[in-house]
Amino acid sequence: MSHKISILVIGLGEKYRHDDAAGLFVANQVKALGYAGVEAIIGATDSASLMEKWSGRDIVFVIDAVNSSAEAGYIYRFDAVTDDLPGGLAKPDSSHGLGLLDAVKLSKALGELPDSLIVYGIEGEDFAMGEGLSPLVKKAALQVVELIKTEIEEVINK
Amino acid sequence: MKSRTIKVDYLARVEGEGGLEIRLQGDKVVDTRLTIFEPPRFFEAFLRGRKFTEAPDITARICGICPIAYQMSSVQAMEMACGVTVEGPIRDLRRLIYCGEWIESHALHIYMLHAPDFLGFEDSLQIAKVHPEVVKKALKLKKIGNDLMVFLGGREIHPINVRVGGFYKVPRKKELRELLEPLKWARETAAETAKWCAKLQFPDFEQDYEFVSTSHPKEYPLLGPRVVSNRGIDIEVNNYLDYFEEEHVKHSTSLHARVKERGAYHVGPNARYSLHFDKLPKLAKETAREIGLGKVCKNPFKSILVRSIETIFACDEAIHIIKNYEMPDKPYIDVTPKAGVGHGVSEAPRGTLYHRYEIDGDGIIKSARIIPPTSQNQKIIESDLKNLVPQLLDLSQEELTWKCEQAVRNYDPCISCSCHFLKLDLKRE
Repeated sequence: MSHKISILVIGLGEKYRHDDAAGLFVANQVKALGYAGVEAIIGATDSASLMEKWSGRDIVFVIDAVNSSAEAGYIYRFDAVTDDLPGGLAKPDSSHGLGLLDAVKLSKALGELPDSLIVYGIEGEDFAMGEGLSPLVKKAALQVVELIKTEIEEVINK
Repeated sequence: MKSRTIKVDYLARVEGEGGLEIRLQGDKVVDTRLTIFEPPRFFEAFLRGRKFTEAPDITARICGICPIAYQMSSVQAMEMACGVTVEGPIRDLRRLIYCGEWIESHALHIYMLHAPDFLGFEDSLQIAKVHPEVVKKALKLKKIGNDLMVFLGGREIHPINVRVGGFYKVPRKKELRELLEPLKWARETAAETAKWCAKLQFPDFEQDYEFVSTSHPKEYPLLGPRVVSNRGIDIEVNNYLDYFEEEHVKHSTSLHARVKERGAYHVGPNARYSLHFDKLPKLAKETAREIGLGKVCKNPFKSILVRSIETIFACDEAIHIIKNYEMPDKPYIDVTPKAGVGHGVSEAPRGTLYHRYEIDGDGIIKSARIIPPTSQNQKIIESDLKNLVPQLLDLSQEELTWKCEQAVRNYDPCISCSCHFLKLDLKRE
């Protein structure tokens, strides 16, 4: 009997801070593709809860906006299972909660990482109050949707 | 005279931004300052002009870990202003969602933020490597608290189901009973947590605190309505500002609260426990006795034990509420705005949270005043450090710094709530 692939797409970010919503945009778009066996979490959640949600999955994609020195729309891709994530990635705003990086490290220590955990970062340029992605970031977000689509289809069609 | 400086640029495992400066002349501490420099967040200012019904959702945004505290203090204040009292199953559901917040917050602080101090670890990740089963249990315990908040509040961070007068939607009895089994597991795990914490080593450091908390004739404190202390305060919440005042100090963007004419006081788990031990459920009392915790706890380092006991209470209380729950006919009581002043007080996991609002006849907020627990504990944290440091002068710079940070973490401070990050600057002259 063939194993049913379980895929989770997690979009992180804040809807009302322009480019910070890039992760939410991507997760929404992937969700709308309607693949069977693909679940999406969109928006704020406690990263500790993410650990429970991604444990036992085959493939997990996490998408978040990034504020580094790269040009707007630059796309980062990390494999959190095999690579060390950069220290500044997805740091929590509050030490009351766990950041994505803490959640990945804790999951590793507890042996509860999914088989594959891919983190996409999209460099933003406008994190001011307000809705809507800036043009370069929207273009990059649509590219990430295509990249994830390709990765999902590769797995599904295997 | 011998002089040295200890500086910590980033104190881990506290919420917010601030610093710590301790000045010594020889072996004598001459000054201790919790220097809070996080910019003020102006919540009280931008509440003015908003509708009274918006206060619970706006103030919930002050904190990601204790939004229920802000919602509960604000709704109670608005209801008082409008002459409404909420009782029965709606009030029980308020206590229930609050239990979820306590379980989540206490589990996080005990295992992830505070335990590493006692075990000599930098963070919970190191505990996970050495004791993975402990951390798995901690996360499961925290999640049960989260689940309770999601179930009643709609989501775990900044829940959206609380309103002035009650809730937008309340659960059916059958739905609620599904939470019973996980909560029973959580109650047992909380008792195990207390026993696990009791094996930790605690400094011999007892202080003669004025403990302050809310009070209810029968219940362990969560929703008030009175405010009491072990030095004679026993007041209605609307007299709060007659007994407590806030002052601005140069080294903090967060106001310091004090008992008028007396000064520093202590809010939070140790205060609640020491003032209301008799109202704890049987398992909590028995576990406290078993781990050698007396009816009063004056050692702030032992707050990790008290939080464990309070987690037993929160689980037990949640079970009790669910078992006795009858769905109300309507999820809320209608509240018609009335010009007036209302006060609300409740117990955030880290201590008493006071709100005061003045509204007009259309329900528009004319003024708002919020005194969060960390503002109230600032003076006592400084006092603890002043008394602790002389006992630790034989320690290395690194060990002394660690102990000072730990002494701050005893209070699970939410510097962002009071407005705040911590760096330690110890000057020896």
